[in-house]
Amino acid sequence: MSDHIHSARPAGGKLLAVRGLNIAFGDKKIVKDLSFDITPGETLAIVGESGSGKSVTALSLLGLLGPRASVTGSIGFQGEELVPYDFDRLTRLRGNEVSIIFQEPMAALNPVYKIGQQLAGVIRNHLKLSPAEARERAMELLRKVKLPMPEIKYDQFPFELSGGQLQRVMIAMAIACCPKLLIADEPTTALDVTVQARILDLLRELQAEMGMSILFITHDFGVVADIADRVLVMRHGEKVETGPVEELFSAPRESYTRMLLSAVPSLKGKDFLEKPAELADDSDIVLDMRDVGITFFGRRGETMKALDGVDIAIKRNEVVALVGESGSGKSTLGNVAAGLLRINRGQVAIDGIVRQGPGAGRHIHTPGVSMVFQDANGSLNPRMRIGASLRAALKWSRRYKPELDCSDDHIRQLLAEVGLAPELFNRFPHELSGGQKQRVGIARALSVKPSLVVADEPTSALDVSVQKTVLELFRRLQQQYGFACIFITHDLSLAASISNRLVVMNRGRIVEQGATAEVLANPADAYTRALLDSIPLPDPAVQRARRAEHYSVGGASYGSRA
Amino acid sequence: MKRILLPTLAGALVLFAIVGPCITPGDPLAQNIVARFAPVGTPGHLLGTDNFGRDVLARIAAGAQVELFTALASTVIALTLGVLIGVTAAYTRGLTEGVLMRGVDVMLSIPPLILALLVVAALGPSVPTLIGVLALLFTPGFARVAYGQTLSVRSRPFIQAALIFGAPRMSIIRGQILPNIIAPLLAQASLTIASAILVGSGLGFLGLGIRPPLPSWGGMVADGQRYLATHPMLMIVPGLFVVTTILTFSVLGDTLRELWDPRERRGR
Repeated sequence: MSDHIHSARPAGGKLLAVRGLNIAFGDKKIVKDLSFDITPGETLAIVGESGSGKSVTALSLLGLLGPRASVTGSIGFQGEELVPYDFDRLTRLRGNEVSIIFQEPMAALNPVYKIGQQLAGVIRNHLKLSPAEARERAMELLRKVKLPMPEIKYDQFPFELSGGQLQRVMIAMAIACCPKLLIADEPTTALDVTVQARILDLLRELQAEMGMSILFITHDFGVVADIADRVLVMRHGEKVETGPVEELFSAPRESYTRMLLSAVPSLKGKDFLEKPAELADDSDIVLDMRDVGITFFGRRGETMKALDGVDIAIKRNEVVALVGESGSGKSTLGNVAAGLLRINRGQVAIDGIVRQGPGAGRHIHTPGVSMVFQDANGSLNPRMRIGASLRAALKWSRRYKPELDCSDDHIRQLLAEVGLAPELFNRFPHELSGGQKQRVGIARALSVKPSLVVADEPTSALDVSVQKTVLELFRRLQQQYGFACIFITHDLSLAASISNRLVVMNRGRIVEQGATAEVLANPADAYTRALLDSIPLPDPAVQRARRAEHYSVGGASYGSRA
Repeated sequence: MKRILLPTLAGALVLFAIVGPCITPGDPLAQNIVARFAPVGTPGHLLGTDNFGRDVLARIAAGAQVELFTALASTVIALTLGVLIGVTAAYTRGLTEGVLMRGVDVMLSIPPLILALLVVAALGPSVPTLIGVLALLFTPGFARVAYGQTLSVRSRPFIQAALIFGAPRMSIIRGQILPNIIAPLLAQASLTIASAILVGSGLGFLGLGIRPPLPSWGGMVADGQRYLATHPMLMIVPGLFVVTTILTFSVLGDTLRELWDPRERRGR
């Protein structure tokens, strides 16, 4: 544990030197001939799409890949060679010199032990401390990671904390022994943007204070711009390019990097200005919700208003983006529109068919609505071939719309329309890639000629480059068929690139709505502003300027949620 | 390896039960006091003869027929009833669910062997009674599995998709839910066949299963027990058949589950 604090980027000495790293599982080569360095105090971001080998690389540094992985090459940490792995040497390094935090803090913490117990346990594993001293040190760490009310949280179980709070606990655990290197494997991917911004701030502060290096794994270029000093782009287990963050963003050398960067939806983009605004007049309203309310009842009698007096009307040919953080009620609103949830209050009319709460059945089928799901994989029956899945949807809908054609030829044509080969007709869902599955989901949603499509985070599970092509497809089809659309997303930049109207939700209420360009340019509501401020922009210079401004106002500009 | 061997072995056992009595020489019931206690390998009596001089192979074959038929029939009945109860309960929720699943809990709390003894004692031992008792005993297990699986499948997005496209309830149950819950049920069924044979043999051993002189494996073990010291093969041979059959059907479940899964069938 060195006490001196490193400057941001010292010359010379390397903390970690990876040379010619090869990782294979059986005959499957995951990482090929990878070399990179990390200097003390530096943050290196490894970026890549799924399957690029970025996480495997990170895990290999701590020997966490399990017995099936064969790791060759050289991993030098402070001049000490780690390959081939030696259990005692790894145990000495893990937690003491090199620590790791993961994407799902909930999964990384043991659900049956209290937060404090787990943290103190980790501390006592590494340092010879009495239980009282360990508790003292744990409390100190919880304060250091700015966990609110640490004395209370200490005796709570993981399920009682929010995702952001759990990630703080994980970070406290990781820095308990002042490691020299912190590996962060997508630590903010599962968090809301405002929470993400605070976690990134925390990491940056801790790094400045303790002088540790960070290896940051991510797929998000906004996060890269925000936190990295240097970037390593990976693809198919190989290094594509590496360089200082400003250089990589302003002058990417490789075409793959350029492609990735161009695929990032950007608030600065002109996308939403180009959209034709040929909206139907007010008489052509597809969805009309008035004063809709849904209340969920908890086990102990507590109530939660998932939707609270929501009024919204959507016209034919209009794309409305619903944005908000988790728990804002945006998905609930989508499910109500799709007829999957019954309402307690108000009324919903689709194509003039009115349904009113409270009461009525669990599910009310409305022929004019269809849906594209976030989990493309889960939305297809794993036991049915693609063609059969599409045919089933058509057959069911034909009871209400006899004009629908459910012949095999027509289904193949539907596949072609979403850019899929007709051979996929006879495949099972697991044989398709994520992007292909979502295309099938879109084909199915549009096959029944809906007047309203609810798209619930349709691209959030996809890689950026795939996301881009799927979005382009969706937009093209929307303009071709002119259906009304509710596009639910947590990503404001994505909302900006696809919608005519932006609806911002928070805690079951609509806090702001208006033409997309207008809301983004002049957000009227404080929550909308906080949301906009929290999005890391894929531009290091801009991001640095925003950060400086944020510190000057004392961090008060961020949202109210922890 | 396992994929081919086990279904083949199970198939061979079923085939043996069907055609065995026709191809094995000798009458399972014909007594021949002169030729009693012939050792295994005697010409004409491949597995020897018992204390009445009856051909052991012929008796095993005849026993296989009764044994496997009882086990299969009771399993199929239990599977059907269990799926009906479990899926209905999970799909309707509310009051129906409560009544059905509490009923299943009550059934599960009855000690199986006691119930079997009670029913057989009341109605007298016969093949239909045995099948009925076994089916009754195994239904709650299937209902529980079907119930749990249906609950978990129901919450998946493809069921929501079906609802949105206006799928009728029966079509969702048959086309969407059943194919996705069948794999664990098949595994359960193969285990059930094994335990049906076990319980059937046990009842036979206690003299409450199939009525002598009709041969049953359990009864043969019981008869052979008396000559354990002098002629151990009389107990070992039927015992081996019981063990092999139970093992085969127990492990068969895994194989069936794998074969049903499109991911396993096609590889990755």
